[in-house]
Amino acid sequence: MTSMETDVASSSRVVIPGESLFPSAEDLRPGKGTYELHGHIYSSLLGYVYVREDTTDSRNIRVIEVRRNEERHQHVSPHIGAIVTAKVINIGPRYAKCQLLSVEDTILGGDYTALLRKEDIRSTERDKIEISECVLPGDILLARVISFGDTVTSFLISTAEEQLGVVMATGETGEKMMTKDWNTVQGVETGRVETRKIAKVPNLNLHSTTKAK
Amino acid sequence: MQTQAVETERRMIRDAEKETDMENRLSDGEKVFIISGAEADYRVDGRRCEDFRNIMVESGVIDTTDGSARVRFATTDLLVGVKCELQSVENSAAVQDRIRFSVDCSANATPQFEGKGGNEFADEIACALRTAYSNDYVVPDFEKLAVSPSHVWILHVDIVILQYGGSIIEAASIGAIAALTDTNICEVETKPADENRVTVEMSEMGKVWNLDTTRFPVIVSVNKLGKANVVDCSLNEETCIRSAVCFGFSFSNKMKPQNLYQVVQFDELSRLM
Amino acid sequence: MMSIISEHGYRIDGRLPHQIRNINCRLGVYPQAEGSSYIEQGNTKILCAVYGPHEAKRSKQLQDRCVINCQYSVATFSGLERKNRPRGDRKANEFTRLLEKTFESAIMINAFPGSQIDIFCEVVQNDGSLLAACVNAATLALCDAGIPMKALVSASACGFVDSKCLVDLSNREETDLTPRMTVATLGNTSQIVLIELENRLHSNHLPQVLAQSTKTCADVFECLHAAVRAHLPGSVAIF
Repeated sequence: MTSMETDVASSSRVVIPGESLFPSAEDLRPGKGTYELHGHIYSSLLGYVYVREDTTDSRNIRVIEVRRNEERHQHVSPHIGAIVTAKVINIGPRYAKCQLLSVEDTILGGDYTALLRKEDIRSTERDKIEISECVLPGDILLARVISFGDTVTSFLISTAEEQLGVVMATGETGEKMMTKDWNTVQGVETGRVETRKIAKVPNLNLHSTTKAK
Repeated sequence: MQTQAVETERRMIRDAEKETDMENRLSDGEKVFIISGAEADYRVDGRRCEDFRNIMVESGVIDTTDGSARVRFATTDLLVGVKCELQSVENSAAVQDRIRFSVDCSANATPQFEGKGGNEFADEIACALRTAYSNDYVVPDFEKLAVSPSHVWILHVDIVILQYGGSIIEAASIGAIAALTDTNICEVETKPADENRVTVEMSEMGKVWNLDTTRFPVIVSVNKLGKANVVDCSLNEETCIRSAVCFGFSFSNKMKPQNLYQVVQFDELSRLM
Repeated sequence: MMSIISEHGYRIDGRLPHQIRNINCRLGVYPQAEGSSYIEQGNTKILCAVYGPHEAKRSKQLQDRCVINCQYSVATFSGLERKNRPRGDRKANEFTRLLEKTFESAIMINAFPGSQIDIFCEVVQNDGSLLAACVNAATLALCDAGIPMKALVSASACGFVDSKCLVDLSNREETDLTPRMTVATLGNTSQIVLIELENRLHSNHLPQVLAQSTKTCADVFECLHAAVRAHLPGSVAIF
């Protein structure tokens, strides 16, 4: 997305959906906001035309995109392999239901729900996991999208990597808890200790000051 | 001591929220911020507790109605249309509801109003307006609407909510007054007909009369944000309210408390957002 | 009873049979919706809001494409006679389905599997050609929302009176007997994405009505095109 500086706007031409941009050619590729039909590249959005240089298979091709300068609402959808931030809504015996808050850097506009299955929480000892020792409702966690799910279930996410897991926890009594060490969180005010599957995010300040007695 | 205060605030917020499966758009921290600010007389958009937002009223916007108005309160947008209907009834003195209100929440305001989603909320607003107007003092032309013992004018006031940004009931009452002031009612004459009945005819081409709206009520709601009393809440502030009281005022300074809403109603409002 | 076309060939409001009414439109009227528009075709006024794409309800979700969900609502005070219910009657439901089908052909639905796009139309003032005006309003709102479409959809209503085609009918011209056809085309081509006929039309007259409709849709397309181009430079944000 930061390739805007290297883009060359072909003109300040405003195009509408369905407007023919260029005839198809070997070195032209339809990018975001365009589609190709019957030998022509057409625009599918209302915006300005941008032409971007790109190389594939050591060939120089130009990618045609149509964009507006300001994107008021980002239409980002979670894709497979993306790191997402999720909030746990409720837990069951075999899975935890979460709500996706953001995909990488983009905050999601709509309601996306995802399931975190018991066997996807940790990569070790997968059959002996107790969900309530790893995540509780209200926790914020970092996870990776592993599949779109079938017609019954929604997205499936997994925290089975070292740097994925809980980043901020809500305790059983409802208070905010900070991470204490690799497996536990401690309440900010009461000092109560609980276990979670914590994300080993590098540079995370594990020595948080608490008002505990 | 400070942490105790914060904890009680959080508990208050949780008590005020009903168990919903809708995400609450504001986090606890934001709610505490709004409430504490209101208690110190500072609101998020720079207003004080008793300040209203800019109110813009335009009348005569829709040509197919007999009277219309559009009310805008920053992010709240309402359209009001009045249509007059001359009904033949058995006994016009028995028809007491001569100004009828109906509210429609358009899905343009929020997708939750799609289909029947906004019906409950719309009915509450219509009911509040109906109660406020069912009062001899506020409608001095009440008798004038009964043209003859068997004919009576019914004024249908229809409100469409186009944008939801809080303070709907204030906007609806202002819009009703503006539209009814703008309403032109045809002048009619009664002529005796057979069997002791009367017929009505238009008196002169294009002669109209207007209602006397000087006493029509304005409804204002006072909301409780923490310990502060606040008027004209925006959308975010409405999710933090615990309770509110609505009053209908008639302009010669006679106060007529019309409706008392309980905590339950505003929990439902926050569920709608 | 005034006839619809006078002996000099003029209509009740002074137009010629092939003339459309003035079209005024504005995009981006609601900040809370992804896209919104307001269109005036003569005295018909329509507000349209587009929400989405967002995750569809589990029961309506489709795996390979997105679902288009419309709502067509007519304000109770919008017509000459007061309507009791703004929506839910048979006519509104029929128009809702027609709008959904029209935009399924125009929007690139395969780009958003499992999502839903909502299009809500509110008729504020009714002076005829409602379905056509709603399609035009929805096209503008979708453009404003940045939802990829194959082309702009433009629509027009055409009636057939005294062997003449009347385009862009007003309320008084939409009587119970006049056959009228609403046609919507995709872009500037003559690809038809919507046809709706009310009352009865003899099949011999069909080619004439279709030809006139398609030509009028092209005229409406030019108006929408100009409006949409004018909107974009004004909507660029200052960083």
